Amino acid sequence: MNNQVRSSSEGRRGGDVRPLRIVVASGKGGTGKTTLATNLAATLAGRGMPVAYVDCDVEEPNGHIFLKPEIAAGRPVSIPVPEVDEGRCTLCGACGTACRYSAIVVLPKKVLTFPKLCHGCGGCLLACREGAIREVPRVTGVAERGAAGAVTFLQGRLDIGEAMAPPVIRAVLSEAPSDAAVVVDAPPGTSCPVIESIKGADVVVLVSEPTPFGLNDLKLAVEMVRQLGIPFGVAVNRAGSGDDALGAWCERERIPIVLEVPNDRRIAQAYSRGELAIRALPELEGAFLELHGRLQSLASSGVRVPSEAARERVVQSPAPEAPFPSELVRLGRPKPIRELVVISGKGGTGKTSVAASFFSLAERAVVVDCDVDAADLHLVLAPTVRQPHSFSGGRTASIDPQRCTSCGTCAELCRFGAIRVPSSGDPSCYEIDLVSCEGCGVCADHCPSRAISMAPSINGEWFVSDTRHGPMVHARLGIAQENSGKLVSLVRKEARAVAQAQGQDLLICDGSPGIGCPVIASITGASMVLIVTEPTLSGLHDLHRVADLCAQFRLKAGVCVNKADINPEMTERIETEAGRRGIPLLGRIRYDDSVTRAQIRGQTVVEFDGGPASADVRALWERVSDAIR
Amino acid sequence: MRVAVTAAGPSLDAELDPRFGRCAWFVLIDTQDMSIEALQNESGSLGGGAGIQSAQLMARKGVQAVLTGHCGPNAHQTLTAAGIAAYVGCSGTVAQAVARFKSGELRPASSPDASSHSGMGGDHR
Repeated sequence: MNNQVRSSSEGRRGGDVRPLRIVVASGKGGTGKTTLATNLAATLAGRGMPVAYVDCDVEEPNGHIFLKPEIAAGRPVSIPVPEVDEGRCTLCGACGTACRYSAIVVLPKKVLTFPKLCHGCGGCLLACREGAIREVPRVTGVAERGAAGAVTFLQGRLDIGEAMAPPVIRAVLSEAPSDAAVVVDAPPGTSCPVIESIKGADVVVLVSEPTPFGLNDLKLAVEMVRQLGIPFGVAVNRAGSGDDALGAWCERERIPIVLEVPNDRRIAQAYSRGELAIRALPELEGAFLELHGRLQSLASSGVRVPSEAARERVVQSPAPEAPFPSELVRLGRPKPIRELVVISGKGGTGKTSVAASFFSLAERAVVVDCDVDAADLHLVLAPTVRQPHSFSGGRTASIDPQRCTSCGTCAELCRFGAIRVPSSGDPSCYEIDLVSCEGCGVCADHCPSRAISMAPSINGEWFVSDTRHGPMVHARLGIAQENSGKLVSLVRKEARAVAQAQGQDLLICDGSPGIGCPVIASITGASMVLIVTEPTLSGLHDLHRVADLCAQFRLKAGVCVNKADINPEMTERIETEAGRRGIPLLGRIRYDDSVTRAQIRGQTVVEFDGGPASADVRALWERVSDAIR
Repeated sequence: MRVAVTAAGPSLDAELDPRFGRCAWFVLIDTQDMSIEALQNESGSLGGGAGIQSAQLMARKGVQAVLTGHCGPNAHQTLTAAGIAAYVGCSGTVAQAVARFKSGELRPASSPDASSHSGMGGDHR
């Protein structure tokens, strides 16, 4: 298992022409990551180059829509979970104490396991002195392999309702060939699944679009790749559709722009039909070949080693000892507060624009940004922060170099590859790779010299702010940090407290993309979920998955199709599908470039003008506010 | 008999907190002499598994019945395994809930009535 961030200069010395592993990522969803990855893979294959496409966006894998592979084999991905032999168990409680995830509990007369909460760290097994625990596999997804023409096709799929994407990503990446160019389609954002996908890359392409949201999310993604120390460039999708701020920023930061994809309706239409852009516009092949050339020279230009100082600053910012003031006891009967969560499954469908518009139309509402990995709502709502707070999402291990005898026990027991054995420098001390550490505590529990402690990790910030439309609760997760689900739960809870205190009766939440941990945390217990989708095959595909998720949590849902007139036929298919599943259609929003122009101006589209999108969003709001009552 | 009520505060006149795993306090009452012990819920801020940890705490404290608003599947399973009856749908103050329990008005829940994570900030109907 390759869990270390591989130095990309390894194996490239002496004119070695090992094919590249290229990871296509983006801070923001819906920027064209899959378009770029699939077209690049198909272009290279068309020139006779051995190439594999690997879809690591296991929450919403969409590459298959464009490459249309024949899947030859599927391998279930599982994590090991405990099974207790009651005959041997003495109810001593050691396993329950060792488990940091409440996945095994010892009651006075019985041991219970909760396989869905288990991270597979093996801590309970190690703790049991009676040999009463064995591990059995629990399937959480599948890694599939096939071929799309000359392209080797690999994809992972996370089962609905499962929160942990990284094991599925690791499984699918472990099958990537080493003798072919590999194009990895990463999930959006900057959290653990993205890091997992980027590990081992020779070069990263960050796809963005020239809008304020696009630039904001690009900055987060750049920070992430810089920390990992991998060479990267930026691809601008829909070039010319927004403003120049993105290009100017890249120039200032000396980040090469490796590709510009024009804002061409034919590309959007091909996408909506599930076709490769190079089939619709064959001249694009040349651009993708040039991209590949640029990436080769970027990869060989050397590694940007992350400065240790920068790493320290991000992962170990000072820890406030005091708990959150939010834990104060609140007396009195809570009054009913309704909660609307806007989600999309697929990124970039306009979820944030819709949520922000609703907030400007609603009376007595609090807005909540639950998209803590790539928060954008603040760009439109310009909040004034009233209370900043630190967020601690869990504990991570740290090794005391004075005590470490480098016996290697920790590295042997860690199942997440989070213990680094330093190859150079001071060989006497092992180090924790904080990006990989799951906080299971196995290393700390079993270190013979007691050199390892579990310290609370500060991995984000959250804020209570004022905006021109009312209060806002939002957050920012540190780059490459875990526990976004917990931060999402926290901001929702705090927003509820703000509403309670200030007399608002509605929470409007901008949810996270995907179907994993942060989304589950965004929607559980909500009064209603609005799914914003778009009339593309990917939109339809992701609607299925997100609707399954809502059904599993028994949530009331509604759907709206954004940019509905781009592909009326697909809009109808989506609406029929929603109807079949009993999800009411609450509105269509017409395509309108006012949406982008409003964003550049820092306004919601309903504030900006009275154009088609503005009118449609207002009508949608009427129906949503009726439905949620 | 030892009964636990999920509460917003550490006393008999505190409002019942409808969440089980993420309630602010557990007020433990001996129904014989109405003596109380109040425990602050340490698992309220856990990332996950708050219901399980709370149920485990109830078992360790020798509680035989829990009076609360809602109880999710993991918490319900743990309480059941520990032989603790869960009474959901309770409201009012701690003292009122205990009075209704003693008069036999309440019926234990045979299944969870809330989805997982619902105490994390959702709408309590």
